[in-house]
Amino acid sequence: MSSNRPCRYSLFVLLCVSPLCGAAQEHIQPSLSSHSHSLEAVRETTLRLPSLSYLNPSDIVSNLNEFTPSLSQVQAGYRHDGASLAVDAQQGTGAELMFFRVQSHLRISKKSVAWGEAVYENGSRQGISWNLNSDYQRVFPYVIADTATVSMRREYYLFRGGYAHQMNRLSIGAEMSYRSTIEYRDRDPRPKNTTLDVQLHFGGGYAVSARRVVGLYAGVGKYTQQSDVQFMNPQGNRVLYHLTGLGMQYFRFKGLQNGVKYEGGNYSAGLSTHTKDGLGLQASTDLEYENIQKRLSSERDIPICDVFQTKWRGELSWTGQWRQWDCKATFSAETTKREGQERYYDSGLTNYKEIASSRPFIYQHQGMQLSLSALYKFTPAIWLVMLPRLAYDVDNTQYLTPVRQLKTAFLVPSLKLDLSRMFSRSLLSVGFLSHVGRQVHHHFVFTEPQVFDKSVGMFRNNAFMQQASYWDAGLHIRYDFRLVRSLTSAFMQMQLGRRWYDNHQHGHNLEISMGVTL
Amino acid sequence: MKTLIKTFFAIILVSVLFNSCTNDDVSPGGSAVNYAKFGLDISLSQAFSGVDSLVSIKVKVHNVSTGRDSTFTVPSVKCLDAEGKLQSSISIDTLNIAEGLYNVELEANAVHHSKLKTKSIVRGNLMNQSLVKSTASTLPRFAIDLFFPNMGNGFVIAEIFAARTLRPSGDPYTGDQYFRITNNSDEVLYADGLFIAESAFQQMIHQDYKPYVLDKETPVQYITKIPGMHGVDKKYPVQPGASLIICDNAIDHTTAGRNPNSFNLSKANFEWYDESTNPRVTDIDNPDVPNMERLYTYSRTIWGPHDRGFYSYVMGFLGVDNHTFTTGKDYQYDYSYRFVYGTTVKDMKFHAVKVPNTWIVDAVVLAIKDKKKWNVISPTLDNGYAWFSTVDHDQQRYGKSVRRKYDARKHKLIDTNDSQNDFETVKADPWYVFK
Repeated sequence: MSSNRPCRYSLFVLLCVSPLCGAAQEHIQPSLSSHSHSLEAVRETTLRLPSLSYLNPSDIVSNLNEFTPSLSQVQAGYRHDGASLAVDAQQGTGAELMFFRVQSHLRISKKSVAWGEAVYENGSRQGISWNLNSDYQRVFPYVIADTATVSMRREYYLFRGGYAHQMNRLSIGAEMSYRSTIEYRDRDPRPKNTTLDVQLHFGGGYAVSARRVVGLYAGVGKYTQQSDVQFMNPQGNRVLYHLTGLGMQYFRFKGLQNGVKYEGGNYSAGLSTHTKDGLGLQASTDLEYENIQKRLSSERDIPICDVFQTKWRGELSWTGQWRQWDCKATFSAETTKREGQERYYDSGLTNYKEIASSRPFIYQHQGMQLSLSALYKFTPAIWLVMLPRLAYDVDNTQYLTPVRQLKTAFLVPSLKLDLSRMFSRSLLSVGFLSHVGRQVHHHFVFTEPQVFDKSVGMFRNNAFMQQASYWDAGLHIRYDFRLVRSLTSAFMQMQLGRRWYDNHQHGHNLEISMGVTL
Repeated sequence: MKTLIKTFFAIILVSVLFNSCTNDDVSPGGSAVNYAKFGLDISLSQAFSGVDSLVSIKVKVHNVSTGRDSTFTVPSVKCLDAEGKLQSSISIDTLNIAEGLYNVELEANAVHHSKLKTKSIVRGNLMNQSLVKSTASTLPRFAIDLFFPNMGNGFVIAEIFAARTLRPSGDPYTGDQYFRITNNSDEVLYADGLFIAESAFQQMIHQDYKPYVLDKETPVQYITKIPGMHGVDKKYPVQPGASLIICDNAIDHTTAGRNPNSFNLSKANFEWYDESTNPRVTDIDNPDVPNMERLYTYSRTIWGPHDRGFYSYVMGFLGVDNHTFTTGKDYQYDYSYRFVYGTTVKDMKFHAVKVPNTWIVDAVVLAIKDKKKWNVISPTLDNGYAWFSTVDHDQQRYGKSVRRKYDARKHKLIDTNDSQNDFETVKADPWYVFK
């Protein structure tokens, strides 16, 4: 009798637990459970949207048709990237930061959608040489420089919000963003940089047929950066250089001109066409113009340099569905031309009077890319996204007198694979990405190094890295799980990657984050 | 409609692609840099009346904004016209150069008519010249005045220490500045009446001072001299190759309570002593070392050479007695410049004294490295500049001086009347032995 009781109890426990075990092993076939339904929005946003949607950040009204499920996401994490040798020493070898990010897109009604984003980053950038300014991509080549290789503490804020609405055939939308960066150092040299970038985009679309919308969009923005470099060490030397591109400097103002101000604005306009259901032909083309001026705030605020940048972008894609396949073929091209202007002044006897100017600096970038995105649904639970891509990029930087040039052309085939598996209460996504960058052309000329020999080594290193072929691989894992009813999911995410150059240098990146989706 | 839209965007994309295929190779002298064409002339004064031609004319055109130098050489030009008369202006070349602000320097060898005279170096100097593209129908021309640089074989300024030294605590120490004067000739020279003066103008403040006198005279804000009268007294002989040390305080500065990083100047030949009007700021007088005779000062307390190297220093012999120099109108210099800021216009007035350039036997222009903005004294006295600061408030300048280079083969200090060529920046040592 007594030996039967444990058996009975065991049998009872087993009978109680077995449904749970069965539930854990349950495959979602053929329809999704209610829990999985909410995770579907996560899968749509993280998997389908980036690879198959027409979402164009400049074409505001495209958000109307692409943000189908509402989703909000709050994420906090850590990111680190580094390199054994910087590809561009003026941008540094990498960064290490903590970030907090909130993103949301809400379908308010059948005809309107709103979206927003807020980002805060706190960390540092490392290994920066010959550049004490922030936002290098906006202000290059006209930066203040010191001979030291430095790290800079960094705080970054982004607030972005937009709204789009459809009224019968007409749809309109607008988006505004505010971005601010503070970078500084607490040892000599001590730059303190504050940047502010405000952008406004607006657009409209007209439904020319039941399916097709033709859109027109435009944007305007204002950019400022204030920069001041101090030296506190009583024994320190303080020669600051104002670089003008490819190892040249504004010789006249080298020394103690430690305060600069950048001011400028940008304008853009574009045309597009897309379908409401996202299938078929989508196309867009836009043109952006930017002008930023550098002034010496420590020398009567005189403007010494300007950059003028024009960027053309065009994209043509076709999206279709066939059985379990969703496919998208895209061809895109982009060309950027950036000219640098130097202003020359008289002796400054009675305030500075501009006597001449020249545009000796030119940067050009051309890129073309052909990609094919394919989403295959093995089952409603298992999705696979394949993204083979072939890109051709040409970068050309020139300074006219003395003659200097760095030109490279790369052919970059790549492949991205994303596998997503939906469980009853969770979603697992694993991705793999690899690029092979083959250098197909390079040209490096550096005449008259004696004009300013201190920075020559840095530019030779830049050429050494920018001319090198490379291979990289990356892994991405994201796991979403239902935690409580009030949240769609909680998630953990990790991204890591590594790049190998054929000159035996390497780079790496790591991002770990967690968050919740609503 | 669909076809039209597709065609339209296809055209846009193709045009983008064609833009990608342009040839981006560098083309020198592209249209993004504007070039200015101008003629370069040289102006000859009557001092060139015995000169037949100029040979090996080297011209250096320095772009003040970018720091680039362009140099070229003209083999020779004739100074006399067909009738054998001296030409006042000769064209030497036409230049095509990028627009900007330039300094032009010229050096040539003058071939004299008299076979007894060997070739002489001549120089020319043009600062802060704006060269921009001209729309005029005639080619714009610029003239450089040539001169014979003053390369005498007598007393030369061998070393200037103005930067001061640092105490072990890191604070600057005052009182050990000095000038070293050397007899660069082969005969005994007498230092009686030798003056040292600091220029009234400085490199970092460039103004359009009026009246302009630099061609003939040098305005100074401080002048002090060795007692005696040149050509009359012979109390202070200086052997060939020997030096005089003229310093601020002729004491041993390395003693306790002072600065072990400084020098022992108790054996200096002369010290300048200032009677201060402020009892809280007084000078030190070593009774064992003769004092210089101060003729003029701008300071109400004590003077020392500018410790960041902004001013120039000249040395020579007065052509008149002390009293005539300090009281005579010919040696007083009242000058001004017009200050303009927005709608505010004001004449800023100053006073100094001036010495004729003919009295000056040697001069050294000082400036921050690469920051010589203008000629604060006549380029005939010094065509270049020396430096001990690489930047204003250079924390590394302390303990550094500018010292004249020594030609070990000729056993002479180098004097080409160009301090950039003649001087080097060194660790200061008043008792340095030239070898």
